[in-house]
Amino acid sequence: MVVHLYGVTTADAPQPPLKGRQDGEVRFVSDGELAVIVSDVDADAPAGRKDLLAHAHVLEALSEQATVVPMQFGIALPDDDVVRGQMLERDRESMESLLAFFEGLVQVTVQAFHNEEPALREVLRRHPELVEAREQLRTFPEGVSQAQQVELGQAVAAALEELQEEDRMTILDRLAPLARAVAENEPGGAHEVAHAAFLVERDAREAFDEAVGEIRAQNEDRMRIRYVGPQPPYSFLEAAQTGELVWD
Amino acid sequence: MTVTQHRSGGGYANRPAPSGLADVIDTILDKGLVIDLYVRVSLVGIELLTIDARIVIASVDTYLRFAEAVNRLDLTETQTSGIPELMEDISSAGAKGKTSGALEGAKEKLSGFLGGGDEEEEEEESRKRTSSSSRTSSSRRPPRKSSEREKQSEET
Repeated sequence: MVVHLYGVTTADAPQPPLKGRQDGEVRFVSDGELAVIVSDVDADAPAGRKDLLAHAHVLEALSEQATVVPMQFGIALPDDDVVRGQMLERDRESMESLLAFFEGLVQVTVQAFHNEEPALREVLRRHPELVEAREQLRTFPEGVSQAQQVELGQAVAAALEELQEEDRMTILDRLAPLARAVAENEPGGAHEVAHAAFLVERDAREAFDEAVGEIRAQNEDRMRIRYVGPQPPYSFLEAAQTGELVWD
Repeated sequence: MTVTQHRSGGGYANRPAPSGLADVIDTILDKGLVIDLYVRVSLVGIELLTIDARIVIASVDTYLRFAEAVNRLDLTETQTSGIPELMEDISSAGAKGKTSGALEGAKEKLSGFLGGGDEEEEEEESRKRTSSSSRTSSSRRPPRKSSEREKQSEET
């Protein structure tokens, strides 16, 4: 058996009963001030989707009430003594400063996608010239070359991208003021409108939830929104470590 | 105060949901603290997976699909007519919707790595951070170049 590392929190954090990887009991390796979140795992067993989700869900459950600094998945140490030596002694200073930096903050992630048909409908509504181009191609379908089809498709794609950008700004303009920081991901698919992580104060979570609910309700037809959290501040760790992200 | 691991059901209506598989690819495989390792947990082909998950398809094929989609769109009707979604983002491909073309290939690879039995998974000694995907700003995302897109789709 080895000790799988989930993350680091403060020793006074609530310690709810949680199952981790391989259904192991999640426990704290603590020195009274800091606590490393761990569970015992079979060292030889390879990791699959269940392990990935267990790691994420343990950290998310703890993030409900405590400040958590997450470890990347896939790190295990031989035993508790090594965990103490590494995390609570050697790396203590950086653990303390990260926990202080993120105190009272959680990450939530918002991902928005266009529903294709309503989005295309809106594109045609805004661009009468595309409707016209379409009608022309429809009138003489036998004489339409592939180049003409591609041209129409490109124009549609460009107009769709404009609409995506507009909807992306609507989402960010509504949510960013409620967050301490925003980290956007690169677009992940043809219909992805926005994908952003927000660092939110625990006290502001309810207001943020409501704002996401509002955006959902207002764009029900055209967009579907995934809202994930609370997560530990994955997307802001690097910026915190490099000093790119600072509080006033 | 009680906390349980299953949070999705309780609370008020707008609460966020726990991570799904697509989210963990973005978070715990890509970000999070790293230390000098004594033991590395063996993992699946993560590099391939993160690359596959980020494929954005736009090519002649895509444009033809868009042209066809607007052609079939009936502008007179008010009800949605059930045209199948032509392209589905990879992140939600596992959960809903249909995929086509190259995206389907990527999805198959993804489920091959993560959906299959654990016993088939191979050990991977070193996994690099293949993509640094987040930017801590809200600036305009860079335009996607069609030449890059075609190149990416060929790689699949």
